[in-house]
Amino acid sequence: MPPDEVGEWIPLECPDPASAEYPLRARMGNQGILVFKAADGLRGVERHCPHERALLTKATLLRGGTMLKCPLHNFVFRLRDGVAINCPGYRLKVFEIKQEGGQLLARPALAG
Amino acid sequence: MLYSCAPVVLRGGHVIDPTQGMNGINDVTVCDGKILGVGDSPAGAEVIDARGLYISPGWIDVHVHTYGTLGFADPDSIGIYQGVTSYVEAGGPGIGTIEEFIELLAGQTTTSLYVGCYLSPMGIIGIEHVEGKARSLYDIPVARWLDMVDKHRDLIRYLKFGAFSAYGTGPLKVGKGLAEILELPIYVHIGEFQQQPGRDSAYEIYRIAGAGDIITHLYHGNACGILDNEGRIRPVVLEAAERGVLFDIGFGGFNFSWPVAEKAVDQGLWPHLISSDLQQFNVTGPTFSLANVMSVFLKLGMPLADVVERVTAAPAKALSLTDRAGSLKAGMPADLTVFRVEQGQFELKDTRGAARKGSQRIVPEMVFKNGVRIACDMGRCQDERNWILQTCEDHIPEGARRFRAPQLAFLARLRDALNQVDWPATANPEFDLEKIVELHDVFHRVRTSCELPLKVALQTVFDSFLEDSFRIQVGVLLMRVGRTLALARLGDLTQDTHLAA
Repeated sequence: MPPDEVGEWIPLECPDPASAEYPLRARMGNQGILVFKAADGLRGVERHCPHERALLTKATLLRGGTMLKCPLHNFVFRLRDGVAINCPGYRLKVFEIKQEGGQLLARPALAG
Repeated sequence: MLYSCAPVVLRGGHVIDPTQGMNGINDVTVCDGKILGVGDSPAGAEVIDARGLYISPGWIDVHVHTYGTLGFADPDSIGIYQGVTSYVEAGGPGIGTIEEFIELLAGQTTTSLYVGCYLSPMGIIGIEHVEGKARSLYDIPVARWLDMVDKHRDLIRYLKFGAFSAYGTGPLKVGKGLAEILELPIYVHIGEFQQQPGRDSAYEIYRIAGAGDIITHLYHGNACGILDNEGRIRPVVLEAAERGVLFDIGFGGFNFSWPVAEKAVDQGLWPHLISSDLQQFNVTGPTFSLANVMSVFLKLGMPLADVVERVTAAPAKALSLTDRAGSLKAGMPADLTVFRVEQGQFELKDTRGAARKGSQRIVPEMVFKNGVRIACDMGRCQDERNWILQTCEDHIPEGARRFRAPQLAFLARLRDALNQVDWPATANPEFDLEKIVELHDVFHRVRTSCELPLKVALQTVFDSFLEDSFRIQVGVLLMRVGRTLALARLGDLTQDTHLAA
């Protein structure tokens, strides 16, 4: 899908979002994602850092929840669009998340 | 005896000074910025109760990053505020950027800052496919190197380059050859970015290095390490040590492995020097500080006095700094580190995620730098503004609002010149070194034609794109910013300048 096209909302397979610990581990089809409580609500990201594939379950939210820091080498990504802040060239896959009747749905976020 | 200021005595601390064979309770007196002596203290001195604390010569970190893509906005945050009174920028600038480094940093930190220049003219870029390329050595101007080192020999302490196991052994010999011409020791990276391990040319550095040369990242866990497949130390490594080659730790973000360290120690291979390789990508862990790396060596079983020796006397000797650092002998500059050794359970991680539980932790309490007492603040370096090198995309940085007419005129001409250059619209992973050099040259050409002082021109570009005070190669910064934002921002800043013209 071209990066400027919005995809379909897809239901996530995941624990109950009301009682789960965050980041919440979820699946969108074959894609494993992590859902964080970010600045503007829930935000999904791919499970591994694009740098050295470190698991992002222990990633840290920065700058008021607008950025995510990989725990392995401090690579920082903008949650709005996945753009790398301090590691030019890398990009994190990010997902818009919404909740409908207790069900989480996701779709790829637009590129910045 | 008359003093221009009152002597200060640190009373009752545990003094460790390997240069004088001291390792026990004693008093240290400082006065007029110098060490007055260890032992008897003069009457009337101000007394600091140092009981329960250790006192050593000020720590020296032979491997940190203060400049370029790895450097910090607040370089003292990893220096005096962490107990380190002297350190060396390890490879940030090369011959093409050393003047920028000098303008921006030399003599401008409270921590004594030295530099190990990088063989590649632009300095460390930090992108894997660039670092290992023979073409990254695009220019080796021997005459300029000689002039630069002659002029700044006090500042430049070694020549750094990487043994990347790529493109044969030629680049290593070029580096060693240049260092011999310049009469500098080499300081060689053997860690990550190993590109063609099967060729094993990285091992050639152990044969090329001579007495006094330094090899860093000794206990790294990447390809081309010091251990063979059976976990034995490779003979070529031991032969280098026999010849007087010095081994350094350079903990780093990628280059310390507990299993490698433990196997090496079991076979008696210890480093001569302990350094941190602190940079943006390890300061919030696993490296944290030189003190943390020292604690790692306590866990490995190294006695505290030996750990102290490897951050004081040994680096002072390796860097030819024994006239000014690494000792508490009377008359030396009063650079001291005062620290505690805490007992407890502490997690110590390597750069690959493996952890060990340590029972001791070294915690700096204060330093004296040229006799001035400064309290340590281990958390200061953790401020995000110190290590997130972020381009201001959505607003004009505060510093740009204070530009004066000559700066705006310079930026207007820089924009016109950059408009003629084709480079990527946004940062991408295929950093093109030749394009970085072209952008760098454009900056210098315009800056010279505008007769703007180098420091002012550099600060003007930084303030156009950065909120925090990072110092980075201009060509690299423009590449990171990308053509679209660079031209738009310079256009916004100089709109009125164009109208006036």
